[in-house]
Amino acid sequence: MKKNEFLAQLKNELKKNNAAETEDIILEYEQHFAFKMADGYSEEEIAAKLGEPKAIAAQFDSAKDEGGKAAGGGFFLKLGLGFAAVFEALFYILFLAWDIVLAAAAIAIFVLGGCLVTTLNISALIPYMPFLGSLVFGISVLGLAGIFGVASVYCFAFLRQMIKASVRWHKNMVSASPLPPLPCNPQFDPKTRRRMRTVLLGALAVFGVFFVLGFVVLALQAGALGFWHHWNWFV
Amino acid sequence: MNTQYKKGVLELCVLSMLKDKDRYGYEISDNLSKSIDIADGTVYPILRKLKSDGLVTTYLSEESGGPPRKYYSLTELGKSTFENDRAEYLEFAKTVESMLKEKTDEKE
Repeated sequence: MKKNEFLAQLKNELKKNNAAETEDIILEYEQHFAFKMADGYSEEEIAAKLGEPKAIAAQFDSAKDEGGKAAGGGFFLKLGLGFAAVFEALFYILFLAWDIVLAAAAIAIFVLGGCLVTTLNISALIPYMPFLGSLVFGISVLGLAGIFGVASVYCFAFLRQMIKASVRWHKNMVSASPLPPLPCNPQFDPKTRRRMRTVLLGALAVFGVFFVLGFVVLALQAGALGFWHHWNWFV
Repeated sequence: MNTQYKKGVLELCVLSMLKDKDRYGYEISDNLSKSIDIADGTVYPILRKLKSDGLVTTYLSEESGGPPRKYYSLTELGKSTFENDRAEYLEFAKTVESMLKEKTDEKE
């Protein structure tokens, strides 16, 4: 039996037995596979040594049935949950709007950075800047776009996880056999999290360094600290 | 040997492995299956049962270059339970051993 097949069968059997924290159990067996595979065993060997998924699942205690706690019961509970859902939905819409703003800002800043780097001045919207200054400054703007990009991705993941956790919570409130609550903060796998951190720190560094550098270059090219006056940017 | 019989003792073995240091699930399963002939899959249900009985707790610890590992650690209750059960088992095993030996001696 292959790893995925084994895990799928085990999950199925655990669900049938109404075992608590199925995901957590599966994770443990996944790690077992990972360790054994690192030692050079084949997936089939590992699965065979683990035993039958059905037999394993039978060894896990099933979740305590709390005698239909509030199952179907409590008109007021449901009414309250309904009201809570309305307010939550409003909050999520607000949060989504915020995230769209972030994403739009990231795209706009990225385009601006691209224009500066390539000195592509569409209908003279960008005030005049000599080439070198525009290039250095453009790179810093691209870094800023990176920061906004990561922020919008993070916020979106945050929103998604919050909605998931809240749906789970709502279900648990009226369900007889509650599932474990989900965390509210975004659940990235370690690799993605590390990559996002690297991108964010890199973008931050690029933005910081090139912003200062761009300021210096522009000031030198204009021969004045307030270079924007020199080229009459705000007139 | 009878699997049902072994399972009862396995809990004690797991506790004894955790007595001196915290270990992650695979470490326990690997160590046990090396010395006792059981299916690899049996250890995880035992760990979970010990946890729901409050004898062990778990925590995640991130290792360099790998997924976070779930470590198991004895609670105070686990420690005292282990000491009790250990003494009880050793006493029991001693009695059983001496009884079984007498029997074979008679046969010879």
